Amino acid sequence: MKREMTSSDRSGGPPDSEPCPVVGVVGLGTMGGAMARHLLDAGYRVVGCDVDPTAALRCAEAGALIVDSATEVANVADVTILSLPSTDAFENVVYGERGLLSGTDRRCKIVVETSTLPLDLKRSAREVLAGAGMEMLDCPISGTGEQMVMGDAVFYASGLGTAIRAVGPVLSACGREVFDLGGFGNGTKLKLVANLLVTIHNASAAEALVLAQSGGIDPSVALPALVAGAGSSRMLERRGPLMVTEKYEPVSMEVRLFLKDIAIISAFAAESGCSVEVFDAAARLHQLAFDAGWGEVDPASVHAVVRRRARS
Amino acid sequence: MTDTTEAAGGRTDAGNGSATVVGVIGLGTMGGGMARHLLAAGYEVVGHDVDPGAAERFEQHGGSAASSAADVGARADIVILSLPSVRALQDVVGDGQGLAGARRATVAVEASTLPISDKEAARDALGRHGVVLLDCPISGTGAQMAAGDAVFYASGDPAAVARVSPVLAVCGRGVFDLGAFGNGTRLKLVANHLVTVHNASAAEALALAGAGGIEPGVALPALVAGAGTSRMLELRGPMMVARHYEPASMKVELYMKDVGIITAFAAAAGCSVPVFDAAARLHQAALDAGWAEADTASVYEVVSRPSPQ
Repeated sequence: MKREMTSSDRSGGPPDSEPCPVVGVVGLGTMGGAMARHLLDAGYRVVGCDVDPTAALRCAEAGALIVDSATEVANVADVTILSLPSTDAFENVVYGERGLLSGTDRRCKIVVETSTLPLDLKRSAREVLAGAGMEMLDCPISGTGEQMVMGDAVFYASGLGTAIRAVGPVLSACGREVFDLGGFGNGTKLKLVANLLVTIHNASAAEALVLAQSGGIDPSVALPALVAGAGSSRMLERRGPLMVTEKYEPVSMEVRLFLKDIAIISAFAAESGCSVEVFDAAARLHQLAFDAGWGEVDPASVHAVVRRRARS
Repeated sequence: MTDTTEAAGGRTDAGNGSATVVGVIGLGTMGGGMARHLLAAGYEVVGHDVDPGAAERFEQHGGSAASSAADVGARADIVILSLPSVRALQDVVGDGQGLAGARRATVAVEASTLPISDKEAARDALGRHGVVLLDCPISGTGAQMAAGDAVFYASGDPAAVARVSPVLAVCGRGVFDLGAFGNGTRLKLVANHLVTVHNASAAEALALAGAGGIEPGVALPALVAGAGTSRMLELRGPMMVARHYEPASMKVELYMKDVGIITAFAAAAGCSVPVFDAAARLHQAALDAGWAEADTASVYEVVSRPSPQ
């Protein structure tokens, strides 16, 4: 259901008899844009902004109110979801001239930070926002852009329990499940653990399909049988088909960006005193994919590296 | 189509109208599980096991115990072999005594995980006596077999694969025809490559969550729901969280044999598998640390020890 939102909504509140929070989304890219559309479909009124006018326009067409800045989003929305691509973008949105802290007529009480960013950055933002009356949650998403579009992503929520319960219905409208993982920061930590698994399972899918092919079994015959068996993984299901075609498209994540996540996981494991040798081996294959020129391609391209290393 | 006619208390083979009798040789975890699924589906099942205890349990479930492999071959149309070793396969095939002297069976399904060369030798020996042998390993743990959640990697004579497919279908979730004889075992090795890596990755993930201050019991359901999930995380993650590795659905010591076979297969295929190699080392470390009789989930005990700071 689509709904027009006018400026009168700022003072008028939701037209429904049930109290329905206005949800803000700052960053309307693949993830943020999909969340905005899921929220609109669920009947929420959505206000959003993005530095890219094309992304903003797509959400406006879906029925969201588009404003110019994070300040304005926080003025209209009860809950603001952040979905941002970089540290710089995050700092701008929180501390910038037209950021969350700049408003004087602020309505927003809860900020849901869904991006994957360094934890110390999130922690200091949380303190500053709390001083301005906004409770920030650390709430990364496990799932690809495609999964988010399909409503198949999950939220790793962490922070103040009452705030997590308050935004539960909003996040449930965007994905499959919301987990309350406890203290602020645990969401980001578990996202890193999930990405450790994603890294390994992407590499294991590549090794398995190349091994089948080297053994004389057509990978397109092998894949469905492997997916049905005890060796299956979400990555084999999702990226296996990209490996079978050897086209590694569509790109749901670029190798060069994923390598940044890999570096953060390595640092987290080292800090925690946890040795992760299988992950290390998988990480090296991703680095080799980057070195071989697959930086802007999906990580499924690890398959090309494993294939080249195999005697054909 | 699968034939589901139940005539005179038994299922019939497509077309010929007479009741299909299925034989099962080896009534352990896997063979016994298949026999129970077949009995539940209405097949008449004749079974044999060298262990009288296994044969007795089979009879309690309604099966008819045979005195030998040859006896199974004399009474069943299709015979499934679920055996622990090459030696057991050689004994079952026999030399005029075992299945090679079968008077009724025309198709045998070799469902064990054994070297392809030994399966080929068995195929040739049985072929000389008019019995078609299929290579058809199972992907799935004992628990998965019991739950009807295992899959069959069938390979060999296509007409024989088509004939046994309805019989295997009642034992599990799916039957895949992978082509030439031996491809079933090859793909089973590939599946176990993944099982090895995903068992180790589950251990690393839960250990890292714990080291980072998140209870593994809280982390597991969230990881299972996310992009990093795997069948092994779902099945063995709970054993790791409980740190309880019995009963073993696969023992570390036995599994190391599979790991050795996969390593040799990859080397022979000229395929470099560094991620598998790292996972294999963790399984070896579990064996070295005294977990030989425990489930392979015990690799968690090797990983969760903090590395020296």
